Amino acid sequence: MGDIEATWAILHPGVDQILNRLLDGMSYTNWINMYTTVYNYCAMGSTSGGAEHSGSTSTAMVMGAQLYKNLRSHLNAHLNDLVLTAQRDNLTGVSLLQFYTQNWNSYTTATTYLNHIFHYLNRHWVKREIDEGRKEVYDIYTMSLVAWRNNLFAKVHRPVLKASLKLIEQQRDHNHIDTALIKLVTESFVSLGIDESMSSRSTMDVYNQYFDQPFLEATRDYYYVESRRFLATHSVPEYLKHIESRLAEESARVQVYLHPRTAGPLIKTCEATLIGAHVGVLQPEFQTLLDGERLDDLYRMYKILSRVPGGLNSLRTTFEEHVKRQGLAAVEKIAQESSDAAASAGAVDAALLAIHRQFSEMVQTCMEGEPGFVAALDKACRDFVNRNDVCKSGSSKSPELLAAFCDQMLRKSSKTEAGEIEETLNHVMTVFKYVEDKDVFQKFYSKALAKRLVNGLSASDDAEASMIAKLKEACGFEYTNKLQKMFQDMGLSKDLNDAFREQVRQHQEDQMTGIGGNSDLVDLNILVLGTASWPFTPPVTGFSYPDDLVKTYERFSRFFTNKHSGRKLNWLTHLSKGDLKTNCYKQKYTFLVSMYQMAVLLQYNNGTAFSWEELMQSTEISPDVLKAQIGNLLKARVLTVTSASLLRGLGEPGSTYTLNLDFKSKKIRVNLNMVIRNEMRQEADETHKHVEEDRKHLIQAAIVRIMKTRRQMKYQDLMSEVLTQLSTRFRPKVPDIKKCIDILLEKEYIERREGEKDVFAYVA
Amino acid sequence: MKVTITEWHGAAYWRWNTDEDDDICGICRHSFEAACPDCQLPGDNCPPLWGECSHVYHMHCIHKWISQEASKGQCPLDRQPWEDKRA
Repeated sequence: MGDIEATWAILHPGVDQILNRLLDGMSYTNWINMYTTVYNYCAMGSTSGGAEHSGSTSTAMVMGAQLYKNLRSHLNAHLNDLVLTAQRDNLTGVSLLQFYTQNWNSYTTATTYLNHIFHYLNRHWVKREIDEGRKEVYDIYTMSLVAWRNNLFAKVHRPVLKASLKLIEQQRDHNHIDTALIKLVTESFVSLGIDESMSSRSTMDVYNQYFDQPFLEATRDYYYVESRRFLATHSVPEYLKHIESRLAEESARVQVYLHPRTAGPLIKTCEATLIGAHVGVLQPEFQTLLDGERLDDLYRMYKILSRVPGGLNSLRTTFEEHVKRQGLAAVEKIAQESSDAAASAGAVDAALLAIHRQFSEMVQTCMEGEPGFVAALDKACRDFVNRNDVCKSGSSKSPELLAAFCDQMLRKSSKTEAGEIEETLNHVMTVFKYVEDKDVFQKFYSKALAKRLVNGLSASDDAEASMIAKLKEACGFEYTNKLQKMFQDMGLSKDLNDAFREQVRQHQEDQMTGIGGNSDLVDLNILVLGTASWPFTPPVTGFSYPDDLVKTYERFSRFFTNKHSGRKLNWLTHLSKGDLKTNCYKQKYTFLVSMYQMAVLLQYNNGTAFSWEELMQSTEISPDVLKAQIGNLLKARVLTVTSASLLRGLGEPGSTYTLNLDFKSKKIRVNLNMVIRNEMRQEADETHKHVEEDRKHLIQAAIVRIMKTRRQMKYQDLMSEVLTQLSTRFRPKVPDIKKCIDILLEKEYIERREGEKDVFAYVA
Repeated sequence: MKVTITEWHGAAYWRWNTDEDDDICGICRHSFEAACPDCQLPGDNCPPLWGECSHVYHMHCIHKWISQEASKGQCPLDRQPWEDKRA
């Protein structure tokens, strides 16, 4: 057709100018002329022949195929020229990249203009072709990109990629490069991703295939070599720093000139090559860092190894072992320095606390509190708290020591400040968390608390209450209710004493006019304790109240029965005590004595020497107890024995005890009520025995409880259920549970299912 | 007088004044020194209660029993009408 010749003749110079000499500018008239020419051509009906302007547009067919083809071949030719130029000039490296990017810039700008000029073609002919499902017809701009891809890109992408990678490698070697070049190259690659089936949608195919994949491969190769070279000449901590900065560099690289999609795969590739490939070299170094307490390096190693799958596993194990070793070593050191376990209680706990504190801080600062490390720390602590040098005999020694440590803290004699006590108690609770035999702690703690309260040795009610609150929080109401009850009893006793004193005073006033009165009453301060809550055993000896006490004793008993009918008092004579004022020496002393000693010494108001039999008869104290009590008096030289008696031995029939009238002491207050060491040890053993007894009951109760709800259960299931139920208190031993099952079978709480092996049933 | 007492610190346990050999509540079979099944703590708040018939139970146990229709207000052990023992 002639029209296309004429039309193209008008358009050709303009198209050529836009492609090659855009900067020369184009006049508005020219522009409009081109636009109109395209319009005229397209709007011309196919049947109208030469009559360009005849007929209405409404019936006109839209023309365009030929125009589209002409433009495409013009662009193809233009691009082929460019390729030839590049080949002729033998462009490589940076100059090739410059050539590529400059032409890309001007070409895309030019085709953007062409897209406008051919707007009418786009809107009608192209649109219809696409609507009719024709492939390989695009809007003019997209067509220009396809042309670039097919003619230029196809021939130069290999050298362009090679030059780009070379440039990136130079930058990795810390040379300065023109990053804008690569940015343009990657942008052009992205733009060339044209979805054939839907030109409006772009894909990443071209970028992925011709840039991303080769780039990642090059990265892998680069760091494969580089990491080995670096490690050969540098230490692991230095290498860690190196990785850190390399990873930062690569992230920055993506920001500056790569497509954001590359970020993920690129970092993954780096991690695999820089870290994953060297895990075997990095992990063993962790121990060295722990030994040197190099917190910064530890943190770095944690961060870096947490990037690769499984990278932290061996670190956690190493860490656990390390903490355990440190804990055991600390305890061992103390055990060697002091052979006295009781005295080392504080030291052991302080050491355990210090270890725990040190490493939990490390986990927080260096491992960001990662749960795996927290678990490793807990496991290590549980191990060394329950099984260490000081408690070789079994896990029950640790809670005993911990309770003793608490006792030291909470006693009046403790030199710790109130604020410090609170802090120490918090740390005690940290260790307590790891103690397996919490029941043992409970027993020893309640014993110690009872003694503190009865002997008035507690430093502060607030601190005591705070500790009980902490234990309650950790183990529940049941664990502490006896402890709380003890406190209540102290308060009740105080009220009771006040009431008693008031009654005595009242009575005295009433009797003022009469004869006698209450002047011979002794100032009594008594603790009346609920039997179930306190861990004291009843006295092992009889006792006859001396005349001086008997009136007060009876008076109080009467008072109590009146006040609380239905209740009975049992005196704990072995816990009672008093102060005696001496009038028989030049110096007046105050003797702090047990009630037993009081009874003995009061005898000497009526004489200066008594035989063993006389003392026994008048006090009614059993021989063993009396022996120990008098032993203390002899040691303090309040009483003396004749040499003849000495030969017979303490407490032998016929031995005689004389009041030493030459008694002297530097102190005005003389404590004669010493606790006998042997008794303490014995008491601890007994406490452990009690714990054993209690455990049997707890296990049996647990079995019955479980069987009652489940009715029927397999042996194995029952076993594991018992273990989980009791684990908050202690770790029952399997043979013990077996024994308890046997006992319950015998008592017919449960029975074996007939015909089924190892199945038990609850007997209602 | 060679020595005189200036202070006396006593300590004593108190228990319910029930028969020591048979100190179990006839209803719940728990010791009086322990609490009745409805109480968590033994002591002042869970006392025993004597009846005119001389039988004794946890106060909570006998009250619960008496409040039941079936009890007809009788002591569970001797079927006598239950009367709190006057102090």
